[in-house]
Amino acid sequence: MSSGGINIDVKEPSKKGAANSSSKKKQVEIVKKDFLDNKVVPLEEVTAEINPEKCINCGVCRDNCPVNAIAENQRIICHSCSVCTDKPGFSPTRSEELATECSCTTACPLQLSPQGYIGLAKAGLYQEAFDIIWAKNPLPAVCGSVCHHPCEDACKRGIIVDSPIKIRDIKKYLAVNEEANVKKYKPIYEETVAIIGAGPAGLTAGHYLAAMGYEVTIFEGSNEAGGMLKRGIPEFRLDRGLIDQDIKRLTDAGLDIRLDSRIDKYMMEELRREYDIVIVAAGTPTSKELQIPGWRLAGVMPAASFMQQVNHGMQLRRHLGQIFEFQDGEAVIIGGGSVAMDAARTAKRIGASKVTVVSLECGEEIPAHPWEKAEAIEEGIEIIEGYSPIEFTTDLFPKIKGVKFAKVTACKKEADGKINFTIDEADTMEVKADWVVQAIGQFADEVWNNYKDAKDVFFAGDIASNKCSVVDAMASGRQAAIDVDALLRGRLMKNDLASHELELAPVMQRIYPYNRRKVARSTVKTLAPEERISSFDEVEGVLTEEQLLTEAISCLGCGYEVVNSEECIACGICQKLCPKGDVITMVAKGGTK
Amino acid sequence: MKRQVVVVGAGPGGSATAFYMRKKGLDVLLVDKETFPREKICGDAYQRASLEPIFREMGIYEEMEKEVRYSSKFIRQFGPGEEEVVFKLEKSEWIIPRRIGDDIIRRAAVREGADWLPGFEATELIMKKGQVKGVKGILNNEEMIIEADLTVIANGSHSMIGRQLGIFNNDPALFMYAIRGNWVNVENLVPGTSCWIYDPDWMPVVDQELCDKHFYQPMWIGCLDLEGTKASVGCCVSEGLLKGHGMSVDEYFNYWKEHSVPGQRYLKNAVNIDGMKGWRLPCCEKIEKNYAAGAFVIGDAAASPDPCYYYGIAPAMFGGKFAADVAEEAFAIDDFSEEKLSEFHARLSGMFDPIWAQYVAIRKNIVGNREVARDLITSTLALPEYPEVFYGQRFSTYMKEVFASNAKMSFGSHLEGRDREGKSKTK
Repeated sequence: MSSGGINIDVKEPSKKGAANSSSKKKQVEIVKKDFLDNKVVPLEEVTAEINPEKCINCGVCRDNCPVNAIAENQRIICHSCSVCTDKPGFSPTRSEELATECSCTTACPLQLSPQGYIGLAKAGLYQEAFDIIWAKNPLPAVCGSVCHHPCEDACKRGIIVDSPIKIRDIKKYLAVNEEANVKKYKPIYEETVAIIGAGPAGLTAGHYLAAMGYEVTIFEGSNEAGGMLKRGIPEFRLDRGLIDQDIKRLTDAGLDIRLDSRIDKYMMEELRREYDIVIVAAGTPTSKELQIPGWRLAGVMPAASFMQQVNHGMQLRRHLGQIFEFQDGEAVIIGGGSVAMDAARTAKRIGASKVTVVSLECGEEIPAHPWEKAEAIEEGIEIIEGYSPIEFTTDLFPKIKGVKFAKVTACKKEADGKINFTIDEADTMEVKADWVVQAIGQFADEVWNNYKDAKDVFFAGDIASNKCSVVDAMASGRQAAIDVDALLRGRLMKNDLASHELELAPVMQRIYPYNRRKVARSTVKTLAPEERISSFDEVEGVLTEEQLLTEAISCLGCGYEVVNSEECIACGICQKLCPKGDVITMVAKGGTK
Repeated sequence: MKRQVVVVGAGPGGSATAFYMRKKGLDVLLVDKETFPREKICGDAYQRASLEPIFREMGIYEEMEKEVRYSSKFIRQFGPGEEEVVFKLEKSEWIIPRRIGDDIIRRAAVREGADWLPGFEATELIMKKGQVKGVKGILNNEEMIIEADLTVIANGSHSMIGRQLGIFNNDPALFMYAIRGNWVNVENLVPGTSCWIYDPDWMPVVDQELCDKHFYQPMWIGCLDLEGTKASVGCCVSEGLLKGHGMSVDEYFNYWKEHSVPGQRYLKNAVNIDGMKGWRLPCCEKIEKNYAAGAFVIGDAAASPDPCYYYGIAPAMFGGKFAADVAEEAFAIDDFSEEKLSEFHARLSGMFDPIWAQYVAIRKNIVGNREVARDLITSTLALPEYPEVFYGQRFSTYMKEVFASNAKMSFGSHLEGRDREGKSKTK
């Protein structure tokens, strides 16, 4: 022991602490003993150090560092030789730019780190990998099927080398694993939170708040949880068993979901009295309808009710008492978004002889994802671009005969999601239609407008933003949860929601894909188009374990975490939380060399 | 599996090592991730002037000679502007496709009795108490461990196992992006002549300091056949220079093709027939540390190509020869310590460092200096014996003359005091 103070081994604080329990003051002078040269280092001189070779960039330490001293570094990927890559590029400047442009983690709206769970899955640690996902994504099986995977679009292997790692399929594999289990939520705080709507946004907000330690109750108007996942997304894209599996995990962990509890204006006031906070995640359940001549004709349906009725095996009807027959008929779907594509593919499956999608936008402007469009075309659906409907025609009232369209001459999307367009009324066409689905957007119930300014009411999901994918709704739920926590606890936190900055790793860390194993990339079993349209079975399957490992081993591991030793306060939280365990060490500042 | 020596990589360097170690009676396993013969993108030049003795010792001289596609007997040198001069080479250089030449060298090692294991991809060194004890890798999708007293790392410029020892060149001034392609309709070619083009004028200088640091104008053109219009054309540019210009190598090359006198002279109507392919090319100004306890690092893995013309095969194969000498002594006294194996570095640098220093001087004082480049060309043209002027000889005499008359020039490396990351050591 040195004369400078009491040497307390950081590894065994309790032992020494017991010997000196009388003096609290002396505990402040904790020092780290360097075992190798038996040198005593004062705590201010100690810093955490992350081993870049072992770090899998899961981001747990970065998220939990109290002083924000940890940053994600991205390695440069050398891609000048054609042996390393299918897409050689010969510019070092560009390689550096590519490194810090994006990472799979910054691309994810939930800031979930794919590299982290892939790294753990590679080591066979499926439960740990699942825990990483579960901490930020309470609907992993759902996202494993229908997420539009911005992470894969940002995957450097895809951008620079060959094709992206199948991150979504890896997540699905980990999520459908029956053995993966979840920890129960531990209530810590007295405050209670009510959430209206058990869709992706509501469930996510509930999961985050319950995990933080609040008492959460979710009120769902219908008789099942899942919201648009069940009502809006067709079965062939998302297996109902997967939704139920995710929801069961949430209820197993202790999330209180009350079904058949529709919240109206009066109930809302009661909720506000009983609960400290109310989060409205009620979605946008009602379809917009174009009120052009003939819009009330039998056979013209809004998309939301069409999808709901098909998904629940109900008789198709526009409103009570109005039943129409559609079999063998020709269907026209109006709209160009994901819902329009889903509706078209659903129409094909329930027996329409011909399905035509007519969208306002053209080419890349079409809001549906390219692969959705491609799958629809594969299934024999015709897509006509750049036309706007002006009239639903009939020759035997009230039965519809066709839809008259006018050519769109100019079309511009505003920042708030509204579309400004002009049409040429002289240039028209008519498409024969036995029935029509209008998939041109949805809106929320007006009752919620009254609470826009209320301090104890938060909004999440489709109702709060005009982005309408599942993962964006979940990100909005997460944001609401973090906002609520900050308000209730008076937290002064770093901005968890803002996507973090990427730093450039030193050249020594440069990756040469040449030395990574070149492996034949796996493909998930998918149904052939002919099989697909005759059934509602999910089109995409699950990876086999061998395929999972092949995918995981192909991950280049572009990122790793680095501690800024100037800012590190040597609290040791990162070391304690690291799921891999052998990555972080506490060392003397300035290195031991 | 436990062997005396495992050689990772069966290129010229690895194969020469295996050959000479077998000659010393050691038990050698030669592994490579590819099956041979294999393609390799490169300039395809085997520098016969240096390599002839090794080829003869290995008994492959005649076999190699048969495979020569094209023999480069002259070097045409461009100066800034219109000047050009043709030198004779003391010994013609052999252009043999690497696919064929490398396989001949490898077969010599196998003939000598080295065990040959293709398809083994080395992933990690086995380290015990700071000493290399063999290599881990993947064979047929399964992990395999090869233990060895001595591990020879000769798996090229990307060597990750070399990097594990901290031996890896990432210095932006000495790490080149190289590209090459085959072109037709190349004009003004003379059979048997390679061209080196030093022309500092064509590119606007963005940063004089940067240009001083780097080999500024490395372009080369080589005829591939005697029919006259087909040529192999390429260039290599250091990473630091490209970064300074914010350009990629192909942009740099195209800019040169469009804007320079020699670019227009040769390539105005030329068409690339197979795409420009690139490779990584590390080099050094003096032979860097290439050993560790229980391991030698050979060839490009130790960044041993020269700093001016980027010939890498000669230092790699000589490296193998010297490594075998040291290995024999190490096995005799059973000492594989870093200190013992450092003799390998001493021997190799003893042979190459003076030559490399001369290359550095050429690069710095002639290539980057348009006055001197012009003077070299005009004074050579004025020599009474021209065109009977030999390349190496002329360069040495000229260097001596210049250094005698101009005190400012020095042979010292301008990169002294820089570490392998290219950062300044004195901070």
